[in-house]
Amino acid sequence: MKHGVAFRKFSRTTSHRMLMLRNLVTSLFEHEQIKTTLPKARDTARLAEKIITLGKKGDRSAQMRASAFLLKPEVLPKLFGTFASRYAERPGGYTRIHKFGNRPGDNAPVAILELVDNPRDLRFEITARAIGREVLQDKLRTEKPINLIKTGVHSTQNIIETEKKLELGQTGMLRPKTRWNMQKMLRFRNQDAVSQLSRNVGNYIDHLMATPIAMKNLHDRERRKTVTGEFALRAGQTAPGDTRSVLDLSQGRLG
Amino acid sequence: MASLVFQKSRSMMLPALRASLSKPLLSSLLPTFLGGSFKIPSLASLLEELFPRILLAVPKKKVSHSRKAMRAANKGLKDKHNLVHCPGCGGPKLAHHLCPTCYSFLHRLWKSGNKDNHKLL
Repeated sequence: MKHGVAFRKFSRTTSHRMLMLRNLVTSLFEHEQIKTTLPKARDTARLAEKIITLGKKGDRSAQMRASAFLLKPEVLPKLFGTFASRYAERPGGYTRIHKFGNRPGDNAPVAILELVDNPRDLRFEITARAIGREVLQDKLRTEKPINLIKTGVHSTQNIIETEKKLELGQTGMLRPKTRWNMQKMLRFRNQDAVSQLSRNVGNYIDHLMATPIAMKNLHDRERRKTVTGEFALRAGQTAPGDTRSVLDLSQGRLG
Repeated sequence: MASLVFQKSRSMMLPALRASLSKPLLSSLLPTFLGGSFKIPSLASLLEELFPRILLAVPKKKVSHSRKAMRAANKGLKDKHNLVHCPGCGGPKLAHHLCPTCYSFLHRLWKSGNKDNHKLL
């Protein structure tokens, strides 16, 4: 039970705990995406959002309070400039936590804490990959893979525009969950985000189509390396012009 | 005559001396505030201290492989049931967690983007 517990203590004294959280918040503002343990991420998210609210206020007292809290003066212009404009329309929820398994050393549950709409927004990228996969699946229902590789998939922007307007009950190309995620991604962003998303989707579709071909090429190259039959060299044997050391030769296929 | 004198001398002994003789020798050396009523432990309680009854219990035979294995039946690792397909790459992943394949791909992409791209002049 967690009834009435206000905050986590992290087995640290008050001053140590506060400094640790200040460090985490400063690092989050500096890198916009950090990996830490899940409880620390949850407490850091709470504080970071309050500081971003200060950034949105922008007045003199907010500046003084933010500069007293943060440990690096370099992130202050970012806070009052970039983040204030980025989150001007958004009513709260400026951070996002992704759970990411357990740490090998102490089996601690680990999370990636990031600022929403940052240049490396994880949700954005993974949604793009999900859209790409579903679009490709849809295309492969009607066309052959080889034709698709020759022509390529160029209608990603249109697909995204149409899917953006669809409501909850309506059916489209995407799964309902993927469509909802896409709509959430694009809600507080401008038109650049749509073109960026369509570009990412196109790149991922190309990657998906190219992967089996790349794998096959690699496989063929590996097979071509091994010479069989009368020209195969045994361990210790050399062909003219071979400058390898004796150790290398004796190791043969192992080397 | 001598016996009479002996008996008289015994009754005429100083009370302190009599008291000290009646008590065990060790406690007479101790100061009174430490508890003059210290008793030498009896043989039974000494045995109980050195060989408590629980230590006298001992297994009769080596536990067989089969019985040992049966006892360890509940100690196996539990299966994870919260596995789903990643919508991005189609591979398996933990529910409500990031897909490690997708994340590693993106992370390497960002890392390579950070490196100085050597441009030919």
